[in-house]
Parts: sequence; structure tokens; C-alpha cells
Amino acid sequence: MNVYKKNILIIVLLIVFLFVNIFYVYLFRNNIDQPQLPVKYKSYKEFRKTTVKSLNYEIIKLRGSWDDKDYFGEPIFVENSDFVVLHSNAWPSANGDSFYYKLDKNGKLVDSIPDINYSGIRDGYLIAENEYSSWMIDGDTLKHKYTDLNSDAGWQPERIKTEFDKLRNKAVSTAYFNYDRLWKYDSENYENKIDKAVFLVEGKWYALYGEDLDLPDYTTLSKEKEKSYQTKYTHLLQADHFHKTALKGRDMWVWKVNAYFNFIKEKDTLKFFQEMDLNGEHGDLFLTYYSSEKINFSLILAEYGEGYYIIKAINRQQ
Amino acid sequence: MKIKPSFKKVLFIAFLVAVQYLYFIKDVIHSGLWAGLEELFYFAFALVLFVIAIPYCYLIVLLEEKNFLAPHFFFRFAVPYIVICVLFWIVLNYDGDYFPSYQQYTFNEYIDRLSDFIVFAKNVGIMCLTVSIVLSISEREK
Repeated sequence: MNVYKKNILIIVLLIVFLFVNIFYVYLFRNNIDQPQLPVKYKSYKEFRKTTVKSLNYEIIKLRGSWDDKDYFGEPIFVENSDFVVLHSNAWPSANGDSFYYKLDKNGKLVDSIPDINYSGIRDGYLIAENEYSSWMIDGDTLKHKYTDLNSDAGWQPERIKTEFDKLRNKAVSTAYFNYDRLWKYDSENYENKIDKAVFLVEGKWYALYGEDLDLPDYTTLSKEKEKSYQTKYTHLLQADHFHKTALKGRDMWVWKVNAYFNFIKEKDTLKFFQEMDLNGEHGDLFLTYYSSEKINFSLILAEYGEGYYIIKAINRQQ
Repeated sequence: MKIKPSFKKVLFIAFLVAVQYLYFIKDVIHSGLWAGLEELFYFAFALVLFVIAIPYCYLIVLLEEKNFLAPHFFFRFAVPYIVICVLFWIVLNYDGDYFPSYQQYTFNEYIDRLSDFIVFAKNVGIMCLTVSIVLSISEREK
């Protein structure tokens, strides 16, 4: 063979080799390398898009008097009670007015009150700076004033201190308000740095005022108690299986996956899946739901906190 | 037509290749992506190229004498060039993570991922072309 032909042959062969090599990955390996979805998961439904039912239970979007766009956070459970309170638009920047809604133990909306900037919940009482509400506990929609112990500020600092410590030991629950939240700027009480502490003693709330009360940190005992209640009612459901659907973003190993769940309730199993991001291990895929032993349903927060999904017994009467 | 370049011509070619290399990396240097020692390394590589270019020229002459390479300016360029590209591609893929097995790229993303290789192929192509052209010119002068 002449040297020209030989050279042409080398060039052509190497070019073919190079191109096949370069595009082999794109043409033949450019897909997700994973086993087929097992047959048993093919019947699972996406609960955020369609109703999922088992023999006796179903997951549906929770309907109420609120707007579809209202924003919700985690549901509020009060210790030893058979109801759940939902708080809409907890942040002022959210789209609508803020309300508290009460669901009975079967998940039915039974009552609601507007939120007047309550700063917290203590043992089922809604606490604001100047008034409180026992609505959660007894359904009373009236707001109550605190019983002032020393509003005329005639007490000596030592007496306030003794009283403060006494009440703190006696109280079931407490809340503290710093002077800068209580009074108008430049007012006399503001200048004097008059703080306020409220105490729940035997079902009644008492308020104590005092200059520079040695207020505990923001994370008070009551606050921590509330938090531990909340984690008590928060449950995690581990995904049974997942199946990748797409790569999320470039060069990052975050996958969009369908996570398959088995929600077991009594003898029923609710089978559903939802789209999630997988950034690591199978163990990171879980669904958060809220429930307690005293209520007959579970809640799942909707995407972006726009409402809830409820897992409850199918109502046969309808 | 077979060539027999003088050592001066070969040095001139090596010099051209080194200058071209410096031109290619000028953006990299100016963008401040590398600094200090690494910048020095990139400059030093110009010297390495200068040294490599000399045996490269004589290798072409030798291959032509032994009848492995056709004595034509095009083949002087194309055959070594494609061999270098294939070798580079093999080295690039040697550890297997240039294209990981999990992926899902669009065609454009895929080409983007290839950009290192494309830039390399373009720059080496220009260098090989330079060598081939100057070698061929030097031949005509004789």
C-alpha cells in the first residue's frame, strides 16, 4: 500500500475512533443508571395531585374557611387535648389576615378567631402583651386582661424582686415582655425601662411590672416546653423506596426522585409517592406528619405551607 | 517531497510553538485564576514545549524517511495531530470521572462538558499546523 493511502487510512480510522468515543457517552450512556421501578410501586399514587385511598383511610387536601393561598406553619398541639390548632399567615408579610383555626379530633373545622398579634402560646393560652385568650382551651372568644399586681409602680424594687421569684416558682407557665416592646418610645415607662412578666397561677394570669426585671433569655422554660410538645407530635415516615426521575441542576449530585411511602394505620396501608430532592442517602428521604394519640387524623403540610393534607378515615355517610 | 530542515529552522519552529502557547494561556494568566507558583508552572511549560518541539520536528523527518508518513504538508499536520488528540482523550478519560456514569445532559450541556477537550484540540491543532507549514516552507527554500 502506498504511503498516502496508508496515512489516509490512519487518519480516517482515528477520527472514527475519536468521534465514536466522544459521543458514545452521549448517545448510549446518557441516561439514569438505575434498576427498573419494581412492579409493586407502579400502583402508588402521588398524594399531592390525586386522592389516595386505602380500605378505610384517605389522604385529601384539608378544606376550611381559609384561602388556598394562606400560609401555614406546623400545627399547634396542646398537651392532653383532643384538638389541633392551625395558625394561618403567622408572619405579617404573608398574603392575608392571620387567624387561628381549631380542628376537632375528627379533623373537622369547628372554630376560628383572628390573631391580634399574640406573641406566643403558653399551656394553651394565647398570650399578647396586654391581654390573653383562653379560646384554645374553652372556646371563649373574649380577650382577658391580666390581673395587675403593681400597675401603680408603688412597690419597692426589693419587694418586686421577692414577688417575682415567688411567682416564678409557683407559676405553671410564664411569659416575659421587654420594656422596648411594651411602651411607646419616649414615654415615661420606656425611659424607666419598665418590664413586664406574666404568670399563670391556678388558672389565672397575673402581671408584674418592674424596672429592669432580670428577665430570663428569650428561650424561657415555657418556650422550651412548647418546643418539646411540638417535637412530640411531629413524626417522620421513612421512604420505602425511591426512583430517580431527573438530575437537578448541573454538576451537582442532587436528584429529583419519586419517594414511595407506606403509611400504616391500623390494618390499612396507604400507598403513595411524592416528588422529592435526593441529596445523599436513601435515609434522608422522609415525610413529616403531625399527629397525637388523642386525635383520629394526621396532618401533612402542603408545599410552600399552603394548607395541609389530612389523613383520616373515609366518611361513609356522605 | 522529503524535507531536511536545518537546526536553525527547527529552533525557529520551537520558538513559534512556545510563543503560541503563551498566547493561548494569556487569558488564564490575566484572569488571575492562577497565582504564584501555579502561574510559574504555566510559564515554565512554554519551555517544556520548546524542548519537545525540536524532537517532534525530527521525528516527522524520520517517519518520512522510513516511509511511515507521507511527504506532504497536510499529512505532516494531520497524522501526528489526530494521534495526539486520541492520546489526550484516552488520558482524560483514564480515571473515569470525566464522564461519570450517572448523568442526564442535553446536547449543549454535553458539549459544554467537552469544552476542555475542544480547547485543547483547537490549540494543539494550530501548533501542529504551524510546525507543518514552517517545515514545508523550509523545504521549498532548499
